[in-house]
Amino acid sequence: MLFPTTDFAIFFGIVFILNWLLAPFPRRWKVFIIAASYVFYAWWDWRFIFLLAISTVTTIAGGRLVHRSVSERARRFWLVATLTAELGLLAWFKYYGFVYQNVDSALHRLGLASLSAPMTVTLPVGISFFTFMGLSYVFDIYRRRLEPSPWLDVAVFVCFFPHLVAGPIVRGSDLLPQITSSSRRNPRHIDLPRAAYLIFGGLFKKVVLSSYISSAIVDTVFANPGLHSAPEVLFAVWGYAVQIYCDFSGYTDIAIGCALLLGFRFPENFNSPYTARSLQDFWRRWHMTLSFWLRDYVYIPLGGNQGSSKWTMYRNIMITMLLGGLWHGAGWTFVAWGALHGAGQCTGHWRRGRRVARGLPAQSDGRLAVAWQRFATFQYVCLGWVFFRATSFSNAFAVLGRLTSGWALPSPLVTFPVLLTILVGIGTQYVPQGVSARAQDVFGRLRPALQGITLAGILLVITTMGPPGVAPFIYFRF
Amino acid sequence: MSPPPSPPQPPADPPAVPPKTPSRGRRAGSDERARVRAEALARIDARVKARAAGSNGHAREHAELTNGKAQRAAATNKAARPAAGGASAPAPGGRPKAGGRPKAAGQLKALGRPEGDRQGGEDPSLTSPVGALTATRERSDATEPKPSRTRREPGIAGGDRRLIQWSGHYASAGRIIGVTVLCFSLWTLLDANQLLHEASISSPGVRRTAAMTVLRPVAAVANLLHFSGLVNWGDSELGHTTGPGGNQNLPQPVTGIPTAQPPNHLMNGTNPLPHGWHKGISEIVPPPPTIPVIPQPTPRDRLTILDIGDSIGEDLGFGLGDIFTGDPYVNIRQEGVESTGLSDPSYYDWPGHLQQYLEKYHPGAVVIMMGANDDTDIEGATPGSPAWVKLYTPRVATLMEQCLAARARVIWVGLPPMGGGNITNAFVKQVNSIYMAQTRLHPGVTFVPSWNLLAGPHGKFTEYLKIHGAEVQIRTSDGVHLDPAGWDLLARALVQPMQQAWHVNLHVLP
Repeated sequence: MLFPTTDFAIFFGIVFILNWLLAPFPRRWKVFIIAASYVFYAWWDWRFIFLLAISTVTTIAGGRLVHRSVSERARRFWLVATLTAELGLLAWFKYYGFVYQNVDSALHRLGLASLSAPMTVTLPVGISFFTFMGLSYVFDIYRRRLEPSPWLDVAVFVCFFPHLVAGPIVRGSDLLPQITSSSRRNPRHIDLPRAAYLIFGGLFKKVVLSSYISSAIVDTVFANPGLHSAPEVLFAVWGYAVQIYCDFSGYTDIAIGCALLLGFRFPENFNSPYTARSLQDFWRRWHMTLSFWLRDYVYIPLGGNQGSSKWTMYRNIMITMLLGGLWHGAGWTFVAWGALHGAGQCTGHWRRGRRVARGLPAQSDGRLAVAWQRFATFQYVCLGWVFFRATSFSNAFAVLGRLTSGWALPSPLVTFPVLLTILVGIGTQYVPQGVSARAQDVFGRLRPALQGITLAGILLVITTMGPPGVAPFIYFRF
Repeated sequence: MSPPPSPPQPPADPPAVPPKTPSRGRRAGSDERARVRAEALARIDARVKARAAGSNGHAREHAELTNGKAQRAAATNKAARPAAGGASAPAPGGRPKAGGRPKAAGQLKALGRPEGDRQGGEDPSLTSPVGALTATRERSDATEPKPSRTRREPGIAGGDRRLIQWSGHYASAGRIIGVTVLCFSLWTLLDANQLLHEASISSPGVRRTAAMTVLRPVAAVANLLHFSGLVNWGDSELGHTTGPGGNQNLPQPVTGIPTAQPPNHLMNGTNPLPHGWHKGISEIVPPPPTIPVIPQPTPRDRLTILDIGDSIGEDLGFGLGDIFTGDPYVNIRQEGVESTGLSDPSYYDWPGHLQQYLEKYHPGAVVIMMGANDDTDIEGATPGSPAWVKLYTPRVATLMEQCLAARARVIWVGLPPMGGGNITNAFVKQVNSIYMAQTRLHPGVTFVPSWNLLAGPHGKFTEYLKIHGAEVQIRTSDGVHLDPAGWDLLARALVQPMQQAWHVNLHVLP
């Protein structure tokens, strides 16, 4: 079930009412929300609910076994066993095809017999997200930052439908206390302005901005860059930066807003990423829950920046970013994207270190310097997006190569609406947060009838400006 | 990656249970009213001070519960240890540990809260849930001081993880239900025509029947009250096809359209992307049901591609025929007709002929290239005028929708620059923009421009192009049509967009 569909609207309406009716009865509420989440997940393919169940049981069992083990060796054994089980599932569904293609290709190059025909392996939706959530729960128990929660609470934590498909990657320490004390949620204290801002803002980003820019220029140009002029390719790359931000942040905003309506607070996932002044800053603003997950469970266990030399830190950064790239998809272009970001971060560390060694501040803070830092960081991030979006290295290099020629050719795809969409997608990130806080404040003070009219008007604008032929509550493109 | 920053401060949460407000509507003596008012103000004042001191009821509860658990953990030698790698351990109050059943009964009592939060038990601390749902009045600003909000300016480096911030205004579940019902009712009334149009072109079934049953009367009411005028104006300004009275002339439902299945993740060595799915999240989501899915062609189940259009479309058909000749995976059906177009259906009725070809060949995909003969009047409107565009655009949309309804994907090829004939390049650019716009409005249709591919260095018409180092004639001397090298070049340029758009491997040899 996808968020902006009629199915989800009806589903959420029912869940919202029952959620608050059952709130004073914790056990019944938890059973209900688990059932609702499984219905949500089964809407795509009912067979995958078994996968979700297996992952949940593995998480619960792994956490308890680690916690109950006395010796450090036993604790580590059960941690590794749980990791192997969870990551094994993820690896099978997500990377089977990738591994098969590469092994087959290598055998072919060596002149050996090819592998037998590949199996059909369909990738279940959201597996990367709920696997990482389960892993963080077991890790935190191992590190003694968390105590095991009742199995029902953990089951809710893993399968809670707002975060199930596309995050944010919520930690046990954030969500489990809220689940455990779920009966203390107050049905008279629901943050409607914030939830409405997130949901309708997310819809606007997803349905209007992202859908438009992808169909107006991005898909066409990336499909065959050679047929387009250099300005079209350049604006397609910037357009993709807007598309992926609006797509992803829009979706997670809707998820966070839905959770807020149910009385739960999720962590923020995006914080104006295209205003970042460095790649390090970018990763504190982009997909923050994944970024912090990689930091806490990959980078720091590898040693972080506590190693004997800077090269150890650079190695840890590269490993972390390569794994981060691979997490996004089974393809070498994703790995290349991760490598670009890793190399960029290492370079940034080196530069800052040199400046500090010379007695300068790590980063210049002058107005021009800040503007240049933001511009350069955004362009480097866009360079990475080329590989992220391209279907192959040849496609990526075709896009980049087109930027070196064809500047004089006509650019019919670069229209005023395209420019405006890119400007809005990037420019809104520079709007101070006080503006949105003020808007929520004004909305919160309205009478209910006016609130309903306001939201209807916003929804009408979204559906009118969105791609017609496909009203957002009937059709979803992500 | 930087060293982890210091642990986050506890977020400012609203209290779980609101304070009692002075009851309204009861005539009390002035002394009584003054006393009650003073008590309420004192409570608000205490709460503001508590927040200013950096804690509130909720955070205090967390801290006390956590400290209790921390003491128990310390007693049993299970105190939190910092993680390996130099990460600083979180302060106990900043990251409460989730435990088993909270031994909260005594502590909650000590905080003045009734017992609750036991699994399987009821929580009497809240009023009846039905009452909570039906409560519609919530003046948060009268009773709740807003929690402090961290104002973040762009450009300041983001910190560690933090939960979503409160807005400071709250509503009851009942109020939210009322607001939502009003919102959706009003939206449905205002957008009824568009919704009805969408329902009418969707796959037949229970959902479509139910939607049409509900939306028909709503649309009728909306048109009667002229509620749809605003939306129709917006649609027409944006070039959408649904206009005033958009529920008239509804297309008939087409039977036999199956729900699209999720595409296979592996398709003979390719790694296609689900339609409309950017690579940011690689998990497959089934494409929406209105977009046909082309299965990977095999020698037993070949892909039929129908080529239609005017004489330039015919040329393209020759090119497609050349590159797919002998291809065991693809059948090309060439049905281009010279001197035809969409402006004059009395000369050649493309929608009617297309329908016949669709029923005859059952193609998986249709390639369309036309427009060179369309610079003629339509119902008195001169070519290129706004009135002409308004009449021409739906004809383009009709061809697209016919193909999609017949479960065929579409590649619409734009016209190249012209160097002769009666057609101007300004007209060519205009019709290309119409094709592009309609492509965006019809998922399942891909627009492929030919202008830059067949243009000279300055983007203008050229009869010759340098291909593999040699000057090759790609256009005929009439300045309009394609020469064999030109139609070969154009046809080959379509292969990759086809494969990417349809997620298939066409096995075309270079």
